[in-house]
Amino acid sequence: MQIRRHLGTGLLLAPAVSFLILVLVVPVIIMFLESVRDADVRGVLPETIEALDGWDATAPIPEQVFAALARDLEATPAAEWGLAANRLNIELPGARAVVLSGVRDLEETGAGESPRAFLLAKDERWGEPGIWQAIVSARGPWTIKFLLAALDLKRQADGTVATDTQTIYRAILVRTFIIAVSVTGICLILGLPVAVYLASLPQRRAAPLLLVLMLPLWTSVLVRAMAWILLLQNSGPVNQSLLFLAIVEAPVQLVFNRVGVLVAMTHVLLPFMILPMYNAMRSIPRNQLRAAGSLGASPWVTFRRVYLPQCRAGIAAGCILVFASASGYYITPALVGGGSDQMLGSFVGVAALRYNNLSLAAALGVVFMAVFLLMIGLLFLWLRPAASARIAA
Amino acid sequence: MQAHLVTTSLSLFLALQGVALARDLTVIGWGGAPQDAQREAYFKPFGEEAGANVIDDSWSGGVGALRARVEAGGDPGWDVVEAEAEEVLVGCAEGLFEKIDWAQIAEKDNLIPEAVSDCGVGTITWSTGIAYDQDKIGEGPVTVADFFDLDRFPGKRAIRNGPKYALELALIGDGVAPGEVYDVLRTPEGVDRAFAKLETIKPELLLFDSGAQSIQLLASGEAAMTMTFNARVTAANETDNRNFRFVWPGSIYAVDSWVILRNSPNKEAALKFIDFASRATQQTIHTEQVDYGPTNVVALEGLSEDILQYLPTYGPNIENALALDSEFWADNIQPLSERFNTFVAQ
Repeated sequence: MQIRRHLGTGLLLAPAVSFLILVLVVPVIIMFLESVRDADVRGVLPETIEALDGWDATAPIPEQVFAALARDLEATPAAEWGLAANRLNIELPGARAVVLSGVRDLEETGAGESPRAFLLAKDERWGEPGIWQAIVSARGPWTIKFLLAALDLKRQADGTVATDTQTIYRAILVRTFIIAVSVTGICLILGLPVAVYLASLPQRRAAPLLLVLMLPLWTSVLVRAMAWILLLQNSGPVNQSLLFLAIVEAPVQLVFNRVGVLVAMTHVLLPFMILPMYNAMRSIPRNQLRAAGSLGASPWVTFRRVYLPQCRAGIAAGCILVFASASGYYITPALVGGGSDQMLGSFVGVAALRYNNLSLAAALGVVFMAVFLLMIGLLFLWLRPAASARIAA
Repeated sequence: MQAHLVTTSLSLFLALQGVALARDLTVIGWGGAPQDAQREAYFKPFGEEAGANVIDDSWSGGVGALRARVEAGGDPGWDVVEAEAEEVLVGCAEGLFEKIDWAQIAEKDNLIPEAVSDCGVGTITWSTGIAYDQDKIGEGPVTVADFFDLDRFPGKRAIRNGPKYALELALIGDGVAPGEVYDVLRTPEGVDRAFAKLETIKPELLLFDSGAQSIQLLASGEAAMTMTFNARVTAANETDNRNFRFVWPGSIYAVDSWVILRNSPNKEAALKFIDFASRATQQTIHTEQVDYGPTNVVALEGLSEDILQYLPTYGPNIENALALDSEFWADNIQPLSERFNTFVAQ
C-alpha cells in the first residue's frame, strides 16, 4: 500500500521533475563545465604543449618546440583553428592573427629546413615570449582562470592568486545586488499598505482593483522602459511640471541614472510583491483582530503582533520573487540607467556575444549563482515561513 | 468547408515540403526597409534572370548564430548571409564560411578594397559618426573636435555603450588624422590618450544601446550631440521633418558583406547570386531606396546628387572618413571593453 502510494506520487511528479532536469539542472551543469573547460588550444596544439612542458617562461624557445609547433600547425586544416585562435587571443590580444597567419603560411609553402627560421621570418612575434606564455596558460584541459577573472583575481607568475590590476566584476556584482535589494525594499514599503488595504476590502470590491494592479503586466518591459524615459527626461512632463510649479530651477536628472533604474524596476516588479502578500492577508480571520482589540490591544499592537506574523510567509514569498527577478534584470537598466547602473546580466551577454568569450560568460554566471543562492538563503532564514507557522499555531 | 481547408493546407504543406527537399537559394538580410530594398534590387531580379526561386529571411547578427548552424553538420539551412565586418573576419577564421571564388565575381575590380576578402563580398557601406540638431545648435559643430568641446557647445553627449567607435572618435577629436587612428590606438599610450579625451566629456556622457535610442535622445533634446549611424539621420529628417546633421569628416565607415555558409547545398547558385548583387546596375537600384552606400563605385554614377550626398562612399563624404579596422576590434574588443566599463562606472 505504502509503496503503491509512493509510486503514484513519483509518476505524477515525473513530468515536472524531468522538465526541471532538462531546463534547469542540465544547463547549470553545462554552464559550470563551460566556465572551467579549456580544451580548445590543447585540441590543435598537442605536440607544442608537450614540448613546452618544463619551459622556463623567460628562456629562449628551443628549436624542437618550433618543430613541434610546425607539425601542429600543419596537422589541422586552417578552417578548424578559429576557436583555439580565439582562446589564445584572450590571453594575448593579437595572438589570433599570429596563429592564423602561421597556419596559412605553412599550408602554402611548408616549413622547410628550419621551422624556427621560417616562422620568425613570417612573424617576429614568434620570437617573443608572449605568444608562448599564452599557449602555456591556455594549455588546459581545465582552468580556474575564468572563475578567478569573474572575481577580479589573477594567478601571478609565482603561482599565488592576487587581485587583478584592473577590477571590474566585483563592483558590478555588488552593484547588481544593491539594486536588487533596493528594489525589493522599495516594493515592500510601497506594496505592504496596498496589500493590507486590498485584503481589508470585500472580495467584490477588491477584484477590480487587483485587475488594475495586474494591468501593467500586459505591457512589455521594453515599452515600459521607453515610457519612463519619455516621462522622466529633462524635457519630459515630470520635469516640466516641476519647473512650472517652480519647485526646481533647472531640470533634475531623473533618468539615465540610478533613480531611473529604481523607478522603472519597481514599477515592473511591484505586482509580484503585492499579490503573494495579499493572498496571505486574505486568509487571516478578521475576528482575531477584533478579539485582540477587545482584549485591549491598540491597533498598532494588533497589527504588529497578530496580523503581521501571520502574513510573514506572504511577505517572504513577495520579497524572494522580487529579489530573484530584480537580480537578473538587464534590459531595463541598459535603457534607463547610466554607465554605473548596468547589472551583471548585461555583462554576461557582452562577454558571450561581443568578446566571443563563453568561458568568462559562464564563469560570471557561476559566481552570480553562488552569491545569489547565498543571499536567497539569508532571506529565507530572515523571513522563515516556519516561524510564522509556529506563531499561528 | 472544413474538409476543404484541411486538403488545402495539407497540399500546401506537402508543396512546402517539396520546396524544402530541393531547397531554394536562401538569403539572409537584416530585415526592415533595407531588406525590402534588397528584395527589389537583388532577390526578385536574380530569381527572374536565373529562373530560380529566392527565399529571404532576416537575422540580427552574432557569429554564434552562424556557428550553431554550421557546426550542427549537414545543410545549414541558410546559403547567403549579410554579415558585419567582424563576423566575416572571425567566422572566416573559424571556417564557418566557404571561400569566395573571386574569378566568378565579374565586377570585382570596381569594388572598394574593403569589400574584397577571403570569405566575404562587400554589399553596403554605412557610417558611424557625430550628429546634431541644427535647429537647436544653430551653426553647429563642423568637426568631431566640437563633440568634445563642452564650452562652445554645452549639453549632454550620447555614445554607444562600448569602446568601438568611441575611442576612434576620441582620437580624431584630439587631433589625430583619420588615417593614423588605428596606429595610435595600437599603442598603450594611444589607448590612454583616447580615454583621457573621453574623460573630458565624462560628466555629460549618456550611453545608448540601439541606433533608435540615439535618435530619440537627439530628438528630445536630452543630448546636444550624439554618436549615430548615417542612415538613421536621413530617415529622421525625411519621416519626422527633423533638421539633423551628420558630420562626415572623421566618421567611420564599415562594410557589410555577403558570405556563403559552409556546406551550403546551393554553393554555386549562391556565388551567382553574389555576383549578380555586386553589379553596379543592381546596387544603383538598391541605393535609390535606402541610404546605404554601394560597394561598387560604378553604381554611384547612376545616382543623382540628392541621393549621393547622403552616402558614405560619396567623394566628399569619404575624403576625411576612416575605415573601421575590424581586425583591430576582433583582437582587442575584450580588454578595451573591460577598460571602457571601468571608465563609465567610475
